[in-house]
Amino acid sequence: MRITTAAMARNLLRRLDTNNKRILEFQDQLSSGKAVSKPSDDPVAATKAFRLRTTISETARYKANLQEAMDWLTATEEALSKMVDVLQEAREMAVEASTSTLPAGSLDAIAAKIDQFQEHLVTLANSDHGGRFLFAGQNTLTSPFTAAGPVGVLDTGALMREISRGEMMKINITGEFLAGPNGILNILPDLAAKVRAGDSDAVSAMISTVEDGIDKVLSLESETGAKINRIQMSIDQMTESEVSLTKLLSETEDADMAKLIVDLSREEATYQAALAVGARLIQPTLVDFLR
Amino acid sequence: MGSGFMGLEIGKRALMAQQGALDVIGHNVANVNTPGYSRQEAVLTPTEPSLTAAGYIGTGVAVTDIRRIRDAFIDLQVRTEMKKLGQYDMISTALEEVEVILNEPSDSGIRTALDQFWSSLQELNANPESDAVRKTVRERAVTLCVAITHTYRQLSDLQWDTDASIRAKVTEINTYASQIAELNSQITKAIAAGDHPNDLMDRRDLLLDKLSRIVDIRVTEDVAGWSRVTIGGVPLVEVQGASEIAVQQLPSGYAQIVWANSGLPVNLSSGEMMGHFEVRDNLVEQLKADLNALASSIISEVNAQHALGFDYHGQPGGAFFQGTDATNIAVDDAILNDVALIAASSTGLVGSGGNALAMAQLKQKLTMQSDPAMPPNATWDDFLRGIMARVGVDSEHATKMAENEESLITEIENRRQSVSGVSLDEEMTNMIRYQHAYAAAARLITTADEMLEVLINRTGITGR
Repeated sequence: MRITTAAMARNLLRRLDTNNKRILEFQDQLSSGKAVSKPSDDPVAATKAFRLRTTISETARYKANLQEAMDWLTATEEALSKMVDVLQEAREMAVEASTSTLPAGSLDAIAAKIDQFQEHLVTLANSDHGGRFLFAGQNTLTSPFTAAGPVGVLDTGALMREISRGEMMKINITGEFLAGPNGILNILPDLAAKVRAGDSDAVSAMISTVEDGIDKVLSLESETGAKINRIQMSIDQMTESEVSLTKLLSETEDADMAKLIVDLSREEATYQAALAVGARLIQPTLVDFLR
Repeated sequence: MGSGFMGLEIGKRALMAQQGALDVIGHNVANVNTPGYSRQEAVLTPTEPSLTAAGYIGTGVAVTDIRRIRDAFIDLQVRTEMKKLGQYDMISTALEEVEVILNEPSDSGIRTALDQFWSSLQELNANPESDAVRKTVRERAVTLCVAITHTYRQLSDLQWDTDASIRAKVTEINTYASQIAELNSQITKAIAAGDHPNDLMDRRDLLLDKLSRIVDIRVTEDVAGWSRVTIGGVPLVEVQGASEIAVQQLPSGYAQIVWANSGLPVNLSSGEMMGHFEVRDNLVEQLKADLNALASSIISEVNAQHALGFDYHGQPGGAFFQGTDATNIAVDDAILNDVALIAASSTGLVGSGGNALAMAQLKQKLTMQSDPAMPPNATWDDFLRGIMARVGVDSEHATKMAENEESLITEIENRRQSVSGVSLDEEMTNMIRYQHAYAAAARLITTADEMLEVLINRTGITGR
């Protein structure tokens, strides 16, 4: 096959061009840090990266949901715990008042203290978290209780949160345990009335009612505590998940820097060699040697 | 036996022949870098011998032909591959641009906008009373709409750019065709007169190569020197001259190409022009249709769910999105003005975020289908991912095909160079040969001259 001058020059240019194209690719990958910057670089990896990104975004949101739920539940737990404290003290008062040897003046003092406790309970029943009332069901912007009882019809709707895909959690305790015929808020006024009346047998009988109330609140408190534990575990799981998903995304998308730098050096050396060889070969023709 | 003058004549003929050959070499050397040039060769043939008593005696040499070294088969191969290269090159370039428009995988494409909208709805479920959170939902929704409409518009722009390129290429084709027709008549006249229009034929072949990249042409050449060019069976250039291709405006505003004299559409099967049509009418059009399907699904699903809920004041929800598809999807004006109208509640009470949660859960709902006849089997995420994957695969394919064609054409070009290319070494060597022959011919003339001088001036002179 005849090799012409033009053919040699053209070949040299084509090889150099191929070299340059590869160097440019490496340069792109090194400066962006990504091996897959557009879908055509590697359609399969790009599809995987797409899905991973969505999952990472979802995981972050679920984590935020969990954190927010935890805050709400913690506030609820605190309010319930304080209610228990108040009821415990009321029980002490009831015990004291049930002894029949007290003068009328002390009974009045005790009744007054019990009234104070009731006021405190109402305040606790109206606890709020960031301006939203904990025990008001879905009527979160309206204070649910007054000293006289619930405001209007007490709402018992649930506040639901999605804590992972398809998994819901109810995060509120509704106010039935406070209102209603057997509600906590109805115990102390009744007790105070009986103390004032000096009916020590009736007061004795009420001690167990107060204890029942304490138990009811305690069980709600532990239910809330259990939810908090569950949420903490979920948060830890989500955090781990985030880390491994991010790692997976990096493996799919990111460029292997060390390998790239080695490849680039090798390619540069090849380019230099091609240049040197080309320079040697395309210059001399017969014209140089003829007289 | 010839006279002494025969020697002079032979010498003269030799001189002129070697001179002619040297001129051809000079022409080759001068055109070593000219694109499309095929090397030429002077064909030296002995002149008619004369019959003498001793038999035939040669009478010298003459340049009888200046041959153009070119392989027509290689030309045919080049044109066959050129049109494929043209097509894949165009498609590959356009798809690269589409990938940039789609901007995936990244944190700033439609997927991210969708994810963030969903995330804001989750937050609304947790804080339906909050004005700040409602405003966030509104902003994220606006971002989503803008992402969709912007992408759609950029795809439309790409189509219009392609359309403009189609119109420009029509002018190019017509220019080439008329130039080829002009060369045709010049070449055939020269051939009829017995000349060798080698350089004109080179120019014509170069034009044919350029034309073959744009459209799929068939070229037939006949003995008289006519090159007939057809596209899809219809003649573009023939003996009578060149036909023209014209642009016909479709109702959509896009260009369609037709034959100017008959109005019939041009039948394309390959080439850059075909690549343009493929991009404009198939690839990008399909993408736009997909975006429209996505947008209208988002609009109808979200609006349907929104209507089932209650807003901040306990009123039933109205429309969340307005518009019909990717051209005009936008957040409803009422909600833009007053975020309290976002129907987050599922019970009418302000603390409920149940409807916002239901709207967020649309992300996992199977709302799209690949086949309209089948039930939905994909979420919006799946659908977007499918679009991106398809574009990626198509783009990769087109790029690889274009690269393959490039390699193939380089191989064929190398072979063409091997046959028709000028090698300076070769020309120099030949130059030496002819130069020696010229010197020897000059010697011949000198010798014949001396012989004649002896004959004329010194023969038959006696006793001086």
